[in-house]
Amino acid sequence: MRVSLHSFIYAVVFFSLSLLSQNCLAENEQVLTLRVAVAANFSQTLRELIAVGDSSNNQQNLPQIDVVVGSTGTLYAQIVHGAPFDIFLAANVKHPAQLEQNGLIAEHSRHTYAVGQLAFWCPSCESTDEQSLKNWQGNLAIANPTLAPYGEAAIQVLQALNLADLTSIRLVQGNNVAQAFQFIDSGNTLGGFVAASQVMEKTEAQTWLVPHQFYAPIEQQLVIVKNTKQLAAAKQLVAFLLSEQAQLIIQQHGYQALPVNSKAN
Amino acid sequence: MAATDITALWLTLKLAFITSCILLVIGTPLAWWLSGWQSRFKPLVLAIVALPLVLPPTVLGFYLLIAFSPQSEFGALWQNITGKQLAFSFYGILLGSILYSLPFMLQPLYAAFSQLPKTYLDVAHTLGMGKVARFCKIVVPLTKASFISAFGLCFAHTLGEFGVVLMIGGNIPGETQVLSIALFDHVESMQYQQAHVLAAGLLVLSFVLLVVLYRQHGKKAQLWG
Repeated sequence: MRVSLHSFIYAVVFFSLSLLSQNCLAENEQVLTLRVAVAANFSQTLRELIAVGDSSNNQQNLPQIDVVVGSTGTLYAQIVHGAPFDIFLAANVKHPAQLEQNGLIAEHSRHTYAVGQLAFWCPSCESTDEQSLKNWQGNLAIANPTLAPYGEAAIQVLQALNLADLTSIRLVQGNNVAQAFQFIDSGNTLGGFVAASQVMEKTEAQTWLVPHQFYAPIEQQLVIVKNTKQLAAAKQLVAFLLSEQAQLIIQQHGYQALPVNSKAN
Repeated sequence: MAATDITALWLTLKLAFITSCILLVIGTPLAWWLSGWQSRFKPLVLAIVALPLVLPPTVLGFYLLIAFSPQSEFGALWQNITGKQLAFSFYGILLGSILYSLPFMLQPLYAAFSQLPKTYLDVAHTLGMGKVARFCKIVVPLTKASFISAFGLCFAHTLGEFGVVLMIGGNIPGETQVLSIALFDHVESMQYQQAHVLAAGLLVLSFVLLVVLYRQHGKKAQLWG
């Protein structure tokens, strides 16, 4: 197929015009949307929460929400450099606390919204428990422990079980816990540590919910970004996320109940 | 520079060098064949070899991850032959780099071979010069500059590889943790000082490499002029 210069120019002009007109429309409508930056492990849960918040009758309707998914570290760096997010749902405490220290969040807006649980997942195993982990040979998928809280927790578990220095286990690191899941799901590693929220629908034989004494709690905190132009709407969404109704849903997705005094932050 | 960063630097140079060497061996006959081939399917083949230029590396990484899995035929075959797994190994990222940088070897060579005046070869042929001798004694000397720039471009492009390795590498120091991944880790974990060292190092390295390549290019232009 030959493309003539004329038809090419027409196509370019047409697309430019349609883009322009779309822009004008968007500016006229002035729909206010909240931009929520969320750590990868919580993004699915958040989308469901938003759907519930929209449809529930006893709740004021939530504003329109754009979800931006990334790793906690990336989103943090973007916020430090002025990214236009209103709320940041991190996968840890460290980055939100750092933002607060740097004066980049709205006052008193740092709250724990979920406590993650670590699971050992092996789709081809007949049963999974502490013993199957101790007998493990070869590749074991984890999230990068220097970046991802679930990876840090995985290392703590291996240390607690005296498996950290074994040469028979070869740690394969995903950039975040979603990638660790993908390594196992694609069959490239037989098993590994993932977030319990990712494997809620897997059978009990394949997954072992790691007992809490083996790792420090994976507290996930949220903040309202200081530069937000929609403080009221942001506060409304945060209140909803911390409400009993939302917390129940969060727990159904594989998270622990919040510690009692977490709201005091 | 931390010890792990030096390991990453060495690994990256090794990966880039081996990738470029293998591509030179694969790319030369492929480009030569393509330059002489006439068929209505030619645009199809040209499009396929140029795909890595336009595809996001994540597409390549995603498909490779599926292909490398021991559950796939390719992954199983590899495991049967070598006894090892492709994903999360140096050979895995090497294979990824070869696919990813293929167009950077092919394009310069293909362009050079296509522009080569066929009369030289015809004359040599009538004088009784063999096929291989014609290629080595006429084609290679005339297109030397393109070989150098193709090799250099492959090398430089592999240095900057990120997405594919991120998806199939598994971040293993000394095996799959290349410089760009180490840099990414530093940035993500707020170690900006170390990130600066690596980023500046990569910038200077790539710049110097490109300057050398363009100087080469300039000389070639004079030669042909």
